[in-house]
Amino acid sequence: MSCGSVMTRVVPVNKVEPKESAIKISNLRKVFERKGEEIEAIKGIDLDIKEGEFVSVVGPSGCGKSTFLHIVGGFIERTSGVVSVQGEEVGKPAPDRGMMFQESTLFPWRKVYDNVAWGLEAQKFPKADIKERVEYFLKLVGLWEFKDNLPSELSGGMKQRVSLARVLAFDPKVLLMDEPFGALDSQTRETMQVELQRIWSESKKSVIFVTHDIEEAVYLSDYVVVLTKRPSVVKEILKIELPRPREVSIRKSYDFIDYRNHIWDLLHEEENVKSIGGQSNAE
Amino acid sequence: MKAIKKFIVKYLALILIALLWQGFVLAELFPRQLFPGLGEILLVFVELLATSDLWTNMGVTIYRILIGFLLAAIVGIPIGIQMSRSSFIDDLMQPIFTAGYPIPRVALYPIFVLLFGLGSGSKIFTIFLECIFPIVVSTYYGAKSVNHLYVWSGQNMGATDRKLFWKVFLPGTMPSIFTGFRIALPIGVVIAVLTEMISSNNGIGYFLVYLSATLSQSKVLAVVIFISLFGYGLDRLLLYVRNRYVYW
Repeated sequence: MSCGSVMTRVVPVNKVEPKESAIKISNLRKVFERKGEEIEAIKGIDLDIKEGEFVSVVGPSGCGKSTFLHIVGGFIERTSGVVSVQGEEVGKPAPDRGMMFQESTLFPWRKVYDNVAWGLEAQKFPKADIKERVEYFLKLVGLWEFKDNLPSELSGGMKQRVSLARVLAFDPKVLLMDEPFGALDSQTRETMQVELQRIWSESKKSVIFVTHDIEEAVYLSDYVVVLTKRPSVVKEILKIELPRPREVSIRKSYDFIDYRNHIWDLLHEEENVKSIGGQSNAE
Repeated sequence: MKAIKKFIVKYLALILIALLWQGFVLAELFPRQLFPGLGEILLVFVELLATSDLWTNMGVTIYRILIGFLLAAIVGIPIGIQMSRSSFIDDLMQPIFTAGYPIPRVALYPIFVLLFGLGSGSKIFTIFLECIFPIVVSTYYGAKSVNHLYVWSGQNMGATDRKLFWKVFLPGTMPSIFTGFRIALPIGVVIAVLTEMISSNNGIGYFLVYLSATLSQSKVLAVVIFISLFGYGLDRLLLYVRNRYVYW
């Protein structure tokens, strides 16, 4: 991870390992046009995420962090800048960047099994391979026994676990997660965070995780990227140096609370900055 | 006891109408000949069920309804979908469907008779024209409101545009298409009977006119009941198909 505006904190980084870059974002800018008026959502974001890193993006509400992720995913066009995955520039949505959304996007007309198989079928995986992968990933998220259920028969947390299995099944190079647990109750959310940490540590994929939950970001991440208000730039990047695997109780540790408080301060600093031109914060 | 109560509540409106009807009959406000009692209608209804007159005419009507309805579905669904996907086609078709909707298309029936003859053609075309409006409009709005995240997910999983259309977009639109069907089908029934009443020498509408002319009011009413039961059954069938195959 490197960035123009890195601020080192708490413990100095003593050794930089030469790791391959997984996602590189440079000079990303986004200007929306609404009713003939130009609105600059993202002024310029630079990020370099290495292989196997878990990076969270937080920011004041309406700062365009979801927009940022949708651009990386290729769902929204960028105004300028470059996004590359493992050295190759990317554009339109493709399976190299597996995406998970806040609300369930499981197809309600397909059973759990067929939802997970969907992407594999679309990408023409061999039949035997599909069977094996669906079983493996449904077991990984602990929902194999629900393979014949419809999404409507699952709880919110279960749906998101199936979504995770679905996206992992087609083996994307990187994972993009847009507040995937944002719609869950706090108890379920905590369980999901523990699960995600376990699954992520097994899969070793790079993740960009957008959230508004500071504790979630600290708990899961190697780095937390704090964005400014719109038009957003990177305000600060924090390296979270908590040992892994992280116990749930790590939230009670002083280090954890330090990180949390620091990010809280940064966000409140941003909230108190007068928005430029009195733009609304609607995302 | 509970079941009986539930039944009564569910059909309360119908029961009240029947009671009101029977009240008029008992009060002898109108001649029996023109305003027969429910018992008599029911008796005639049962008798009617055994006649070939009813079934041959009904067969013709069902044929017209189904062909008109199917044509409307086959033509209407693609139009609705294309309108939702291309702003050019939307602009092109929108005036037809917004300006055309309130037109009583039955009023154009004489022209259709001129074009398609006195037989089934003119009826089928009128049914088609009446049914296509709700189907196009429902399909259009359904297609417009398919959750874009489904489409994004499909793209994300590497689907081709073709696969996206058939496996995401179309299933996402199906519930609305069925809503259109459920509005269109009873209209089809009404229009079939209506056009047959205006000019025909067969069909259930023709049968109604014939019975009216012979002043067999109880038979007319029995046929009306038959048609309403038929329409109800058709709707149940559609609902069954929807719940079975479009369960989302």
